[in-house]
Amino acid sequence: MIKLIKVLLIPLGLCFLLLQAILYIYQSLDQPDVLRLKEASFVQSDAMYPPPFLLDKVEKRSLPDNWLKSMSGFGGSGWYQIHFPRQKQGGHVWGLFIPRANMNLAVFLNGHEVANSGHFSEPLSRNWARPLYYTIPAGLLSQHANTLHIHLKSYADEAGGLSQLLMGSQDTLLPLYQMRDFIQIDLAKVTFFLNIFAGCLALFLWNLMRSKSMYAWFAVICFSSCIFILNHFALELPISRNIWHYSVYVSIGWYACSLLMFTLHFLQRSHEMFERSLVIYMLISSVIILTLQNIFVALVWHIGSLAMASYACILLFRSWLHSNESAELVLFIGMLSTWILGFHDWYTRLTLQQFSSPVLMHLGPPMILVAISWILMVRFSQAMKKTEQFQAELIQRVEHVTLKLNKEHQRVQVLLQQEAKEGERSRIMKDLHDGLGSYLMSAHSIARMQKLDQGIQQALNDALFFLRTSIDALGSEDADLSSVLGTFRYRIEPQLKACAIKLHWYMDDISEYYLSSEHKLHLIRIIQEAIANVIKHSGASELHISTKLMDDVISLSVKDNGCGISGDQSGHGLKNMRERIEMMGGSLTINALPSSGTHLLFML
Amino acid sequence: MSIKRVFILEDEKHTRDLLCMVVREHPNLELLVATKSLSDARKAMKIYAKPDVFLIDLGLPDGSGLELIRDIRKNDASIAIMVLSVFGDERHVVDAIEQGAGGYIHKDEPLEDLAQHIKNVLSGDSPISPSIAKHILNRMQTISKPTKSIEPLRNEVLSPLSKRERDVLQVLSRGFNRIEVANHLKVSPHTITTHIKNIYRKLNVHSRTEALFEAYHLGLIGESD
Repeated sequence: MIKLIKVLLIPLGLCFLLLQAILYIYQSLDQPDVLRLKEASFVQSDAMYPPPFLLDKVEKRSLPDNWLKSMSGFGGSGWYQIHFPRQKQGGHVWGLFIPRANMNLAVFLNGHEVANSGHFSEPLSRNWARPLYYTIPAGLLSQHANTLHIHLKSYADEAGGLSQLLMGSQDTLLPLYQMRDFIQIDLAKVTFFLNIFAGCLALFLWNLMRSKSMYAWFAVICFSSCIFILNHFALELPISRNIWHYSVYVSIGWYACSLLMFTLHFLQRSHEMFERSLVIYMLISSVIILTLQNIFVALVWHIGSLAMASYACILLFRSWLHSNESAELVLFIGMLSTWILGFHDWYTRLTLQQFSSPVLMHLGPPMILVAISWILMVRFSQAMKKTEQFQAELIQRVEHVTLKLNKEHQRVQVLLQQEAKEGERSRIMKDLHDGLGSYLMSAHSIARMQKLDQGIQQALNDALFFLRTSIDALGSEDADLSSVLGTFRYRIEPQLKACAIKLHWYMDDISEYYLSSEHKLHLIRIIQEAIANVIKHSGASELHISTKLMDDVISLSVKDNGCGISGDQSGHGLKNMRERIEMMGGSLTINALPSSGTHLLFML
Repeated sequence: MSIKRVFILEDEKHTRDLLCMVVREHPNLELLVATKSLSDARKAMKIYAKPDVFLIDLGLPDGSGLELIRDIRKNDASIAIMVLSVFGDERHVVDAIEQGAGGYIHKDEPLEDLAQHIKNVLSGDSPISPSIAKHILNRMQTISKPTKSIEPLRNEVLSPLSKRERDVLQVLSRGFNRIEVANHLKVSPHTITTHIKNIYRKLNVHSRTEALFEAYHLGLIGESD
């Protein structure tokens, strides 16, 4: 329902408003105290002064008179004779208002020349869309009957025409004329210069952003409209009349074409092939029109222009219905008004009514200009906002990365230091292994060979064990926590077997968990201590050692089924283990009950 | 078990004496000869009959025990060879396995274990400690560095261990024993033993194919250029 209202209300409302405006311009001439001169006599004559109106040559004409209609396209020179009585409202200054005449005219009242609208030698002064107004000198008006002569001249191959004439007091007529002149001429001039400026700006923008063809098409919109707007108000032109005439047709075609192309780019629906072929078609047909200079070809060309503008309107309207974006609506409104105004001019010309109606097409471009400027400004501000946002994000990211890099650098520094330390440690360990290790082994062999006292053998064994576990943890740089603990299990197993303790071993894959060699050794010593306690004090037959990794926390559990911890046993060993685990930043939980063994839980 | 003859090569006197004592005292073992250098060992090999098992130390005054292992393997693919190692010497042990050693003995182990290890190897078993397992894994990883054009071929030839075998090594390196590994991987302990045996065999085969492959690779480059 809302959509339906939207669909109907906006275009229909716009049409209604525009028609009202056009109607207002038409009706503004209907003033009660104005004398409308509608009946005239006409003779063809080249004379520069009112010729005799001989009965056999005189034709009756009613105004507006379109020579295309009344003389089937006659072009040249002719005279109108109009009789009118003096009006009663005396004492006012009188004026004559001619809304439209083609091409040039001179006014005579009671045989005296009042004024003319330019020179009569070719090229003629161009007045086709220009309203004309003349003050009637008070002395020329007769009290009774008056005769008005109008000399109208157009080119030999171009039909002329004259609108109704309005005569009345200056107070009434002058504002009417001024309004018409403002609409037809002043607005056209302003629009012309605005379009020149906007076109240059668009070209400049396009030069900066070559990939955005939208700007190029915007420039074409501006410059092509300049040509047909200039046609409205230029009195004299430096180029051949025919060339100019058909250039105006061509410019209207390009105007419609560029509107369509701009719309396609704006909606991001342009196809390169389509664009290219349309431009080629436009170029070729422009050349044809300019060479042939045929009015029927030009009319067909006009239909093409209207079709392109219609297509652009439909595209915009449908797109707006779909997306509901205000930019599309604004452009659609501008486009549709341009279409309506252009159609008005085309229609009045086609139906030979141009002498009873104003020319309005030049009012389209300013609407387009406003719409496009509005869109470009909105887009520009959006782009600025985005850029600022992006910049802020970028700065934030750079800061973030810098921070990370710093941290990484520090980490690398620490690692390098650690590596150096480890290397040194590894060297010392190798020394200990090769030297102390081999001496201890020799001593051990000798003790075993000579079957020395078990105490000595045990002491040497312990020393070797201690050295081995130290080297396991500290000596190898590439040994990870998994294999260090795994090796420890391998080393300790025979001892436990000798004490008839069954070891249940479990360990997660913790090879990725980093622990410095120092901490690895701490961990080994902790387990060693725990196992020593189990062997010495618990009397357990089963021992569970499990290492698990959960959320970056390692839990090491040592659990036996022995007698638990009682009083004084807990002293030194536990304190030692606690100190070690705390040094590593971990914690120890002890759960010991006399009946159900001891459970040590180390968290790291 | 019949009586097995043992060939010893160990330069350190006390260790050698101890080893001799252990062998002599064991009812199923018989000492064939004990030598103290590479040249001695080579001479002895010519004089004495073929032993059932070699116990070979690696660091010798006149060379490396690896050379002798290589020589023995050239002539005999099945004879048992064990390396005498000290702790913290995984690299050399794996080198020896690659050359064809079937096991290793830590010199400082309890005497009764020593004899047991020899017997295990003789019965076709292959020992493997967590640190050796880890070492083999690391070595396989460094070998299989990708080289662009020949990567698939190289992986096939140079990374001889299957995924399952790598899993076995991985779990072994965490300190689990064979039965536990079997439980962990949900297979029988026998399968684990087979896997380990295959790993030993592949390491040995691999060390030879690697040399071949490198030569072949050089040849390939020569052709394409």
